[in-house]
Amino acid sequence: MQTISVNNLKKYYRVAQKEPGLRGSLKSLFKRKYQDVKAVENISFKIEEGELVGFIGPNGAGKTTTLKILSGLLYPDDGEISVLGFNPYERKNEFLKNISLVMGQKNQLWWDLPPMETFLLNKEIYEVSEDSFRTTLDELVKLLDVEDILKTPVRKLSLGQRMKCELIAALIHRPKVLFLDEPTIGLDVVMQKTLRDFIREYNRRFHSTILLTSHYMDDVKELCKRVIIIDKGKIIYDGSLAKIVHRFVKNKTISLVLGKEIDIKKLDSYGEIKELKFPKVVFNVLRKDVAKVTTNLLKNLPVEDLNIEEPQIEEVIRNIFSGKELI
Amino acid sequence: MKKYYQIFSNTWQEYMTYRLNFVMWRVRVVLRLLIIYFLWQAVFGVRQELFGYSREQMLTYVLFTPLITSIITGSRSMDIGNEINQGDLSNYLLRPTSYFRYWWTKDLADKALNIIFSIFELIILFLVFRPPIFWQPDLFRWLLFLLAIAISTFLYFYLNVILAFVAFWTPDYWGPRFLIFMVQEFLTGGIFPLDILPKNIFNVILLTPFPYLTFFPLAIYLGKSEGIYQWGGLLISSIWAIIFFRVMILIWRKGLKTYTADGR
Repeated sequence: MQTISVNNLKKYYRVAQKEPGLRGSLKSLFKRKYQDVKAVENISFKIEEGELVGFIGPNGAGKTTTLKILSGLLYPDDGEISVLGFNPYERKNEFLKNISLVMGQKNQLWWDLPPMETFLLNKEIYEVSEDSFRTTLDELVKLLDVEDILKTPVRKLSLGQRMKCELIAALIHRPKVLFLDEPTIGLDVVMQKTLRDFIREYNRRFHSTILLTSHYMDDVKELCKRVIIIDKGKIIYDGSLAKIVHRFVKNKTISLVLGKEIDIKKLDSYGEIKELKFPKVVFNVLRKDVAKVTTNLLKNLPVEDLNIEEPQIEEVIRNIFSGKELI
Repeated sequence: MKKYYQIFSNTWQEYMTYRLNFVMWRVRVVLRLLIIYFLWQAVFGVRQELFGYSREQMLTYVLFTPLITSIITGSRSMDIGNEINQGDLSNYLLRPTSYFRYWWTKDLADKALNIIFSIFELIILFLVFRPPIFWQPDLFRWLLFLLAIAISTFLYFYLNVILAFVAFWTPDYWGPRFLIFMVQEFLTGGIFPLDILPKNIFNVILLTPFPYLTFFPLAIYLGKSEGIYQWGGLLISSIWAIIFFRVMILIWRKGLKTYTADGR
């Protein structure tokens, strides 16, 4: 059985519209205009136990909405959803005890108290036994290296330290399913890496199912074998990260450095020239023709250096998001 | 049970962080009490009875008001509105625990702290002013007094939560609360006992939930609630408590459906 299964999920928001300025405010007091925003439109996917899946898309694509629905915070307008065999919106205790949602921009830690107080409260709320609490806490504290800040009030912690403690608070009951919404947002590169390593390690050690959203491609590239790309409320890709390039990009580029000057017209016959700045030439070549073209180039031209490149995943995804035609 | 202890303990620790806030709040309460106390002293002058109250009954009424208020209206639950607006409600929805019990516990922590301070302040005031105090000798009246306080405490909690739930629909949730605050100041009987008002006005006020938040329990204690209006009062406050409870649950269910877990 799948850990998470989503079938034709739909969620619309009604958002009040207001014209700019004070006049607009007064007007909206009496007559309010609403607009329906289609946050999520008919999406379906399945996730197996122990998978670590990246959920990516531009701002406002519907990622967070989907996570909120999966964790039972929002009421879906339509569709069938099952997480661990539960309907999330019923928020049964058995369900809540086995999931966790961490949002990079929200905190559950008590602001004025040391993080330890929140951990202790969660221990009681999730009915974690003393033994299991100690073991889990020790393990998490070691992995994240936060021993020295457990007694410092949360408001005195840096963003990175706070995020680490948020993770501990969210994991103290060892959830089987973990939803991470932008866990690395606003953190420096070192801290981002620490958190990534931690998430990978947590997934490996506890075999938990993790669904992660992020704006940072590095997060997804390093952590997830499988990605779901969502845009304007619809899924546009669901599959392995490695195959994105295959799926969306038909061409590769071959760049050469020539040893001596030759007739430019000769070059045309090998493929579409993307860039020409002597001695450097860049060709755009269909994937299937790459081997043939390369052989010809090496045979007929004074080549000093040759490189075959795939476009970067970032570039591909950027192009997908911006709706540009793909190369 | 341990989880409620932890919530209680965390709430107190929060107060320790803002101890100046809390102390100034208590100073305000005591100053207000002193003003009303001396006002009534002056009104009574050399008289021993006024508006059907003996001097000792009236001064007891005034001195006990802050204590009763601490018990019944001491609360943190107005913060719920802010939590809904900021989207922090999500944190609680995600945890396997009751949101209402969580806030009830926080309210109890607030009440306990305020009660302790109230009693402490009262002892000092007694030692300094040595006012004449009315002691209720009848055990049955004590029981009724405690019952009335219990009913009113629930009533106020439900009302308070309902007012905070307005935030599900509008970020402007303080409006209705300010309205209630204004009415509350006057109609609860925090400044003077309500039965010195003209009879028909008083009777109308008794139909609202407000007199039960301060005046009514004290009237029982002072033996001023004879006959119909003692039982009627217990009945009316119970009915209000039940209505508010029902409304609270209804609004909670409706509100959650419109909740968008905002904040990003």
